[in-house]
Amino acid sequence: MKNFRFFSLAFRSRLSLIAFSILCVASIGQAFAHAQPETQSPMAGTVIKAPTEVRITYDEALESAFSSLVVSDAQGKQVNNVKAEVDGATHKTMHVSLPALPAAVYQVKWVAVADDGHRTQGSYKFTVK
Amino acid sequence: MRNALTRAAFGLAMASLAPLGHAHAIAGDRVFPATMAVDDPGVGDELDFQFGHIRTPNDDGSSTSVNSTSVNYAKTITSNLAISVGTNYTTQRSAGDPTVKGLDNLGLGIKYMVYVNPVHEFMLSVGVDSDIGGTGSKAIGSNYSTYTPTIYAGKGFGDLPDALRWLKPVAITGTLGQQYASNSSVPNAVNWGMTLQYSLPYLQSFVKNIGLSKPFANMIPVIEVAMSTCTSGSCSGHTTGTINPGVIWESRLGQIGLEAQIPANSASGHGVGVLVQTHFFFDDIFPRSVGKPIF
Ligand SMILES: [Cu+2]
Repeated sequence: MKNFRFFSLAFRSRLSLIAFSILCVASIGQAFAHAQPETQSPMAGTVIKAPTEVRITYDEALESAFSSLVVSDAQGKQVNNVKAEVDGATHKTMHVSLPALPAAVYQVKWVAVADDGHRTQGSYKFTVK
Repeated sequence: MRNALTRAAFGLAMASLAPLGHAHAIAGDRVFPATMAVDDPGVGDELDFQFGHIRTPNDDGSSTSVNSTSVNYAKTITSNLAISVGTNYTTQRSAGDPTVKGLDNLGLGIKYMVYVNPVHEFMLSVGVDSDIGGTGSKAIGSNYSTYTPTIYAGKGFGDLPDALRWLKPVAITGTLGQQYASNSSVPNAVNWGMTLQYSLPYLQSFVKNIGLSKPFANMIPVIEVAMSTCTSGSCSGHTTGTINPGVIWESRLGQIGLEAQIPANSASGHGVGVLVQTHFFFDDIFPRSVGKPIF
């Protein structure tokens, strides 16, 4: 019967329930999740001078063995000569060094596997002028 | 009770439109959010609370104010198969009548994700939603059960050519279900819904960073259309439902949504209602215990 009382309580004070829920979403700190990018350099859709690296910071710690970041040209040919690395301290930043890139459109493709095995992926383009 | 049948029919429609099971639904780069009036195409571990307010019309031209607080919990059995359980507490107020309130019937659901295409951001699921007659209060819950076999689909448009890149953040989802009642005098209905979404996180991360800051960078503007078309009895061919414009704010572990409920026609009501959602992704909050598939 506990549940039944809870429902009617929830009904009577639904505003405080909503506020409480918002608080919960905001405050649960140390769980793991589907990693999504928080900052990207270069940013999606930008036109820039040739960058020396691509760097993406996620909202979750990544499993470096399963996460990847590849940069390719318009023909789909990979342009990074080295493997992407995950930052050893925070585990939240993945970056890869780039050779000197000629003016063209490039595509970044990443796969982020969080500590708990949850996998997300993403892709975007930037233009070197 | 005045208009008991109208209310029963409307309650039926409302109950069948209430989302039963939500998902952390990922197809390629696309995350389909848990929409409020129309169920998303994925399966997942999640806990959903919603509060809704709307005025529904009676036969005599008066109207009833309906408040409903619902809770729904979905649990994955395998990564493609989930069951869900939920109910809602409803209050109906109409001028001159005593207020009617109570717990609605228990809703049970099962949903199986059939197909995911990551490249084309497409997802397809099938399931059955049911309301078990007699499990709620006498005042609100009906004494018959309903069963609604349903198809759920979602499509993101990240596969559009770059010339149409501003449309890549768009996604549509839809549901189509045929509802049967265990009582043969209760009309059957087709429950159908659509959503049109524009994902600002998708725009920022995958198309073009336009410099949105939080919380706007986490928002998904959405329009939901949740409808029910009666397919038998005297109401045959009549459609009721709402068109819900709103916004969903998505975070790592949950989401919050707010929508207006605009009656689609005069049979669906007068005046604008509201729908508020808080939703928790258990797969992310408890990834090693209750948030992971049993098998
Ligand atoms: Cu998740």
